[in-house]
Amino acid sequence: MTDNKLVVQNLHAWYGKTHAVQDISLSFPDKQATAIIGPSGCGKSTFIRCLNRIHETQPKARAEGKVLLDGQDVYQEDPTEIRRKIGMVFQRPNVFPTMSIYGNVAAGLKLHGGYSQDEIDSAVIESLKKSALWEEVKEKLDESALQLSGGQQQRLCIARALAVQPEVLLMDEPASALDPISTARIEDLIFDLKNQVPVVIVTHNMQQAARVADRTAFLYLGKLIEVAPTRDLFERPSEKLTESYITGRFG
Amino acid sequence: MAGTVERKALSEELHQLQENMQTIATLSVQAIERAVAGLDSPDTGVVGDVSALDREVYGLKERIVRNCVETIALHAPVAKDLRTITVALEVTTDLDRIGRYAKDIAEAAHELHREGDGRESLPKLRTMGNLTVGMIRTAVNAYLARDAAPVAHIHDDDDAVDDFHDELFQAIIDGMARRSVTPRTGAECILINRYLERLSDHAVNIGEWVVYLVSGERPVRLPRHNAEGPGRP
Amino acid sequence: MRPPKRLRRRLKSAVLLGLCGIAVLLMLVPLASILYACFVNGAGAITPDFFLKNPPPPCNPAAGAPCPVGGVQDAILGTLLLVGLASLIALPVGILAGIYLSEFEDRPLARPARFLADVMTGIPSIVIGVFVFGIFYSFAEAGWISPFSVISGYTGAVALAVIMIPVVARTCEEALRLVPTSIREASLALGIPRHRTILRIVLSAARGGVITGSLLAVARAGGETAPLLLTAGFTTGSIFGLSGWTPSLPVMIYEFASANYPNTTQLAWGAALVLVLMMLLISVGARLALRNRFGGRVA
Repeated sequence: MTDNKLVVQNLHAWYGKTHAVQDISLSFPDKQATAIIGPSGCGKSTFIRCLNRIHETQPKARAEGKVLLDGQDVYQEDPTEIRRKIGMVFQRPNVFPTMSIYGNVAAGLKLHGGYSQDEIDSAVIESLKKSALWEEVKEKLDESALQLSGGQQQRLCIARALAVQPEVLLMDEPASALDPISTARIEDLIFDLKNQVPVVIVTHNMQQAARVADRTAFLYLGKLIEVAPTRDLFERPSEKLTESYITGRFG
Repeated sequence: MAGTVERKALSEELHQLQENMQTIATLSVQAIERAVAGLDSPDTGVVGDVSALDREVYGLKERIVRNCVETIALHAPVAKDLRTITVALEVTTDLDRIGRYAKDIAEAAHELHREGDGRESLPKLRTMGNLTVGMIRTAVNAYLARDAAPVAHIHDDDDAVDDFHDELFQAIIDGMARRSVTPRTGAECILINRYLERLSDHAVNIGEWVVYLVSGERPVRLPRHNAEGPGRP
Repeated sequence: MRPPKRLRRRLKSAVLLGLCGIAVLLMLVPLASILYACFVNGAGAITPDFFLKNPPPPCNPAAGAPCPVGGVQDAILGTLLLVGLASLIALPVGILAGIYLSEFEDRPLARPARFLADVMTGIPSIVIGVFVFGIFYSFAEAGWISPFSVISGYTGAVALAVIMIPVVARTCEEALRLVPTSIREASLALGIPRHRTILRIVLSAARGGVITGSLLAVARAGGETAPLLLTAGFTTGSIFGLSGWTPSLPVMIYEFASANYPNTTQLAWGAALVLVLMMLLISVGARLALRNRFGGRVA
């Protein structure tokens, strides 16, 4: 039985007056990928953004509850430190436009300070290899990151997030803007990654959740409806609402 | 709730599947009923009728299996939709076997009637046949109605049929030993006995798939017999 | 018979295109004629002496005794010093203000500050000149500075800075706003602290707009006449730093154009040409700044 790396207890989140996340409690075991599915507007993006405290950087955004990383509540710690430990990949690739490929991957380490040039170099190479991008860019590390294709840029963002060696990786619909081949590459990546870092992936594509995740949680209107091993959830869900959603009868 | 969709293509295919299952079940049950009824009377039309039904069942089974595979390929069904299709695949196999056994029983009974000396065993076979047909009807109706309640005690019925089978088997052996029954007759009776026992197993199969379809749980299979009993696998 | 629909449409299109073309020509005519006039009248003044000597005393050409021509050396120097010091004050203040307005817009000071900045960009520059003069005057009255320092290069530079700051702040703010939120979030999500996110990532991504805005503010300051009249004064002598009355090109043009001595009038045209060329140079510089180091356009 694997330990729980990240434990969420009674999390609430608001955008202004909208109560986007309502009392969700959920655990994320180590060395597993957990998918969070649900129709648009169900709060899954908001939920995941509370885990690394990005949610509160938006105006009028607020969160309450506990998020325990290895037993420590992230809301009691310095958010900058937490975000180093809990990395995030976003829906659209957001490479730094004025930096080279190398610069992008190194950014987290360089701007954090305290790493030697050698350490940074090897971290960059390592992360690019992990995100299956090294072969494609090793000859052009000094070129602009913007000349890469969408799928490559997203893998660059993954490499950038991995370079700071997070303890958990959050992914907010990482493949929704990509073509099927790029999507499949990223899914293979997650398959390999989850043995090193627990991965939490939000997706609106149920088949993706089925392909990639060990456990799946279904959210609806801000509430957690059901969470189960993916095999069980997709063969025999307990809740009628879950059944309706995954059989495509609504959403 | 907002934004419900019908998934028309999938619904259409599932509807068609249900209709086909209805048909194949009806044909299959007709076949076995006719075959069991024929145990009493030496009606020469039985073999022909049951064979015809069996052929139809077989053809329909092939079509159903093909349709199910296509539906899976196209629609990637999950949860209840998925269980509906996989159960349909299993149950058609059972129904096809039922049709086949019905034909075998009809042919064996025909031989028996020609021999002319099945007076001892035939009534008992008829009784067992009725039991078996009852089990099949219950299981099939439960499947078509998607209701697991009627098959709650199907294992008990199966045990009763198995006991019947064992008794009859012994009786036929004894009869052949005493020479009150010809070897040919004895052989045919043993075959029919066996077919009926196998048929009740198929009814139990169907019952178990109904439970899985409705709840998602696979029912625990109870061991059918203790260690004693003649040559039981 | 009415012409078919298609023909009518094309006619309308052609008429509109023609009107637009005429409007463009009307727009270009004054611009072109300014450039033309400056070149034609001022080119003759551009000699090495123009840059090495100071203006001559006014004189009327008498028969047989040509007037000395002189140059505008210290006026150029004055403009450079005034604009230089003003930029040194205004650019950091303006950029930081722009950062505040863009990155901290949920703070209570942001809305009123932005409104005030907009108002200030509209205040006539002579009013700003009067205001700055008034402040320095009251400093002299209070005894904090000597009365001779009231009109000086420092006062002029302050006036120019006050004009520049709201322009820099607003253009910088707009440039920063154009940087997508996703870039900020990407940086924060890496555990990069907010101040480094703003200074190293966001500002860098917006640098095209920031540099352009700054250069435009500098260009504007270089061309201001009215405030400098009041605050920096004018002299045809040499200057040593900004502590006394400081000449500048625009004020010189005003002074010599309103007098009527042909030799100084010639210098005024030359100064106008130099000023125009400086503006052109700054525009070109702004365009070059918009190319990022990879050769593509940043913005």
